[in-house]
Parts: sequence; C-alpha cells; structure tokens
Amino acid sequence: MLKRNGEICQAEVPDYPGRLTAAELRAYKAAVASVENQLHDLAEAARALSDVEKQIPQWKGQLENAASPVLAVAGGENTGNQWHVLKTLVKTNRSELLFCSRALAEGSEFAVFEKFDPNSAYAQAQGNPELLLTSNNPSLLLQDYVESERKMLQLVKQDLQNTVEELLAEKFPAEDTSRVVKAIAARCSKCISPAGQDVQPPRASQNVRVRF
Amino acid sequence: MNATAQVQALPAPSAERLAYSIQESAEMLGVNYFSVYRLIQRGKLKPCRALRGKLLVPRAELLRLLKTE
Repeated sequence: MLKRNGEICQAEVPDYPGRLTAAELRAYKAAVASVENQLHDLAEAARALSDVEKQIPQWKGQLENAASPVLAVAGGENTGNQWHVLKTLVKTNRSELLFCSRALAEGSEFAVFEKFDPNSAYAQAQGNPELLLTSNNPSLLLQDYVESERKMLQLVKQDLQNTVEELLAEKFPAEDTSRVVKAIAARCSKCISPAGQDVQPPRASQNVRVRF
Repeated sequence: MNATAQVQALPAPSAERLAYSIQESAEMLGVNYFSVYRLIQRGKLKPCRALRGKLLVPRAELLRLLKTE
C-alpha cells in the first residue's frame, strides 16, 4: 500500500498515472469543477481542428467554387475583388473562422478571416471581419492555420493550468497540491491531443554543435 | 451594444481594476474567449501575468482596442 505523509494514495483520476491521497482528490475535484466548461471547450475545439485537418485533402478541387457566398469586407465592395467564402473552419457562438478566396489578375488569393458578431464592441471598434492569414497557396495557408490554432490551444491549455494552480493555492494553502496540478495538466493535454502527444516546441539543443 | 456602451459597462473608476481575466475581457469585447487568446497570440493584445502565470488583460489594453484612449 502506497502512503504519502501517512496518507494512503489510492485515488485514481482520468489521464494521470499516479495515485492521489484523499486530500489531493478533494482538491482535484474542486479544481476540475471550477474549470469544467473550459476543459469541455478545449476538447471540443481540438476535436473540431482535428476534423478540419482531416478534411483539408478532400477540399482540393472544391476551391474554385463560383457559387460560394460573398464575404462583405469593409472597403472591398467596389473593387471587383470580392472575397468568397469557401469553407467555415470554426463556428462559435460569437465568431466564425472563414476560409475565403478571391480572383486577382495574377491568380487566386486565399485567406482566413475571423468574422465577429457585428454588434460586438470589438467588431464595431476594429472592423469586421478581421483578416488573419493570406496566401496564394491554399495548402500552405491551411497548414499555417492549423498550426496557429494548435498554438492558440496550447496557450489556452497553459493558461487553464495556471488558473487551476492559482485556485488551488487560494483554496488549499496549507496543502501540497503539486500532484493535483500535474493531474490537471495531464487531463488538459489529453483534451487537446487525444493520443496524449503534445505539440512540443523545438528543442533548444537542435542546433547546438559539440566539439570534441 | 456599441463600443462606447461596452466601455461604460466596465466598472466605475472608484471600483476600477487594473486588469481583467480572459473571460471578463471576452465579455467586454463581445467575443468568444478563444478570440481573445487569438488576439494575444497575434500580438494584437498585450497581456500581463498574475503571480502563478495566469493571463490577465490590462484595462488600458482593452480601452486601446476599443479605441477610447
């Protein structure tokens, strides 16, 4: 039987290989309850991104669809180079990410726009929709989009972990909650990467030369 | 609600806070909170960090985005 500071460690939690004490489990449940919605949103966003990534190869050949709806961009109405919506990449309650194209003299141009709720303060102050990425190569553009969304999800995940750490420090100041933080981190990682393979930043040692 | 109305929805100066959580910032901007993370990632919104690294958005940054400063 495993004991830590005299407390039996037998509580198992999802996606974490270690076992928690009863006190740690209490803290874990409190932490999960406080960020349950964000964990759900994170998992949903990761799943949607993964679906988009799988569908990208099938979109080849569908890119020049003349019947696609026009995206109203401020100042672009009379230029004759209107953006056409090819695909909706993500749709949330307050915004959509749209994959668009337009015909130029030198060929097609592709872009990803974020379209906000037109009544939002941000849209009214900054204009709507907002151009995120642009390229004349649709495959590269979509790769960049997937990559930037993954980085955004990593940022969300890290912030969620930090939020949990702050909450645990406030609610359980006298307890060692380091294993609880690790368990939550493991759960967050599983959310954004069901296979448990986090996107790792490039290793600092990649370009280090060793002299003998 | 227009930008001015949203800014008026920020706490009055007596209760003024220096920074807001991502969720609060999203509410004030009227966007999804993932959009706030996108703005941070693109460098359009400069956050600060609380003691344990939690991201916060300075009030001045929100006001700048809403073009009221």
